[in-house]
Amino acid sequence: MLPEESSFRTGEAMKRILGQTPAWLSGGGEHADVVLSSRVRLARNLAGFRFVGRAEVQERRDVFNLVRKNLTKAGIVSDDPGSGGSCWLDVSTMDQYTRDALSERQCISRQHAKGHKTSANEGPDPRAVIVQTPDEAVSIMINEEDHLRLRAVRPGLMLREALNEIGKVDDQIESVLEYAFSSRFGYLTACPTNVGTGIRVSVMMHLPALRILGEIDRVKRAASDMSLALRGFWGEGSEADGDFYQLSNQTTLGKSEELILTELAGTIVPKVIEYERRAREKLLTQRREFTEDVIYRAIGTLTHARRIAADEAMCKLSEVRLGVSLGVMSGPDIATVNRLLLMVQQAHLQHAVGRVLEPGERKAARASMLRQALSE
Amino acid sequence: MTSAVCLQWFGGCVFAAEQDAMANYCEGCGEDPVTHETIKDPVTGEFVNHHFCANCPKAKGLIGHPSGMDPEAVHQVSVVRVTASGVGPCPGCGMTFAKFRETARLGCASCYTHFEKTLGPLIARAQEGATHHVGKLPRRAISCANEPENKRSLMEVLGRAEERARKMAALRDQLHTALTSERYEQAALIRDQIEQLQSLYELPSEGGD
Repeated sequence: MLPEESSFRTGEAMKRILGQTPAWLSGGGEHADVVLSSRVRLARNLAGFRFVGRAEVQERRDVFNLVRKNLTKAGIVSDDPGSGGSCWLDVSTMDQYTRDALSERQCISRQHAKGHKTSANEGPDPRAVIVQTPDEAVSIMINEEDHLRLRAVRPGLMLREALNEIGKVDDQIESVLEYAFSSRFGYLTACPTNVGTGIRVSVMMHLPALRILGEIDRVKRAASDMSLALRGFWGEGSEADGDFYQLSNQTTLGKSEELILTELAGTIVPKVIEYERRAREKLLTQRREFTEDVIYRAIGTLTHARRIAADEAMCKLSEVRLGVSLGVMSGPDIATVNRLLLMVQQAHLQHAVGRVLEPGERKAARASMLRQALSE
Repeated sequence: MTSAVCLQWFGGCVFAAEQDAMANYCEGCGEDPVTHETIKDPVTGEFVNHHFCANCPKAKGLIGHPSGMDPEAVHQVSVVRVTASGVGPCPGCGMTFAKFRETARLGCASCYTHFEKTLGPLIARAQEGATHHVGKLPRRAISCANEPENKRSLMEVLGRAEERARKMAALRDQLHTALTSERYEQAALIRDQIEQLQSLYELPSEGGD
């Protein structure tokens, strides 16, 4: 890991990315009051190379170079970093805060930000990400757990659109690179729990009313009954910060991609949307004063606090988002609240300030940023 | 899936098939040829077979400390020769099955073929009983299916007759389940999938199958 740095090594493309809000946080799409975003990812490996965890650094570097060369030739990656389009970002040469910012934007995983261990004479772990700009609707991690992890994300409930989009990218890549594939097991992945389709379909849902009414266990039970995974905002291993939950498929073999998507989008997701809406209705009709109190205390904290931690900020933003969805408050709009969910994160906060902040400075900087954003 | 969950699936469970496959390699480290030990269980009095390499610390722990086993009852029965048919390290990347159980990650595409016999049941367990892929197929093989030089690659993608039959049977089971539980949207998707696979199976590349 790089030592703490006082300034950021951020190229032009990355600066442009940090200057805008990803489209999946726009607040648009179907059922946007409950569904924040829909994403589909595909895990793919190249034929003829060992999987990333087993390959030497030189072999990983070969994969890195081959992918870059072939995808640039095919026009999937823009060869002019100044021109926009899909940019190739070398994660291994970035400073820690820029890598973390990409992870906060969910363009890369936390694991990819961290990288695989290398010895001092091997140099940094060769890894990259391709980000489609300006909307960040598609990103491709190179040399994460698998050689390629393709991801499409859309605001609201738009899983089918995300699947179509990522399917096209997958076909384009396959026309210039050969994937590891077996007739029995399908697309071969480092972890056999991803083998077959290599697909993970997930929906990020905002469920504050179910949490307030203590009914979130109903969702957990429904997910578990259907062998689906329920995770927090940051994916694997994370808690549900700010009442955001990701619901995704667990199995990847023996079913088509369409069927996996339909099982999630056609059954449990509409059910959870309905549970949450009913809970919100109940809050308004049976516990209005209590609900308004929660929401106004949240906006009060965000607009007046002098020091605030990221998890408290997420929690309060979640309650404000509920207030806006319920029509209890006229402003801020959903898009602003969504943008702030990202801006309160550590790396984004420090990029916004333009320097590395000491732990003691962060809470004050966050509170100041929130006061300013919400008073606009 | 998190590493912890993967390890639950692949790390802790030992199947009969796996035990058979592992018998030629040390059950402690999975790397080296084994010495076959028969050890008497002091509680039940039964003789239990163990397979350790000569210097395995795990074996020493078991045999050398009489807390669990009676050292007097240890008999070296035979030294098992390692044969190529045993599940040794993957020829593609050197990965051992023991290492896979430790990390829940395979090393390369060849691991799937090399460990297939042992891995198949573990994958089925982690994948709700599924044993074969029925989803997307590499476009390159499909789109060039009618070109004679691509017959081999289409065959590689679709599999041989037995594999194709298994996939069809799995899809028909899924269709039946979807219809009986009145999930018509899903049933329609499965029917489309069956038709798509059937049309591919009828392509000339099916050859001698």
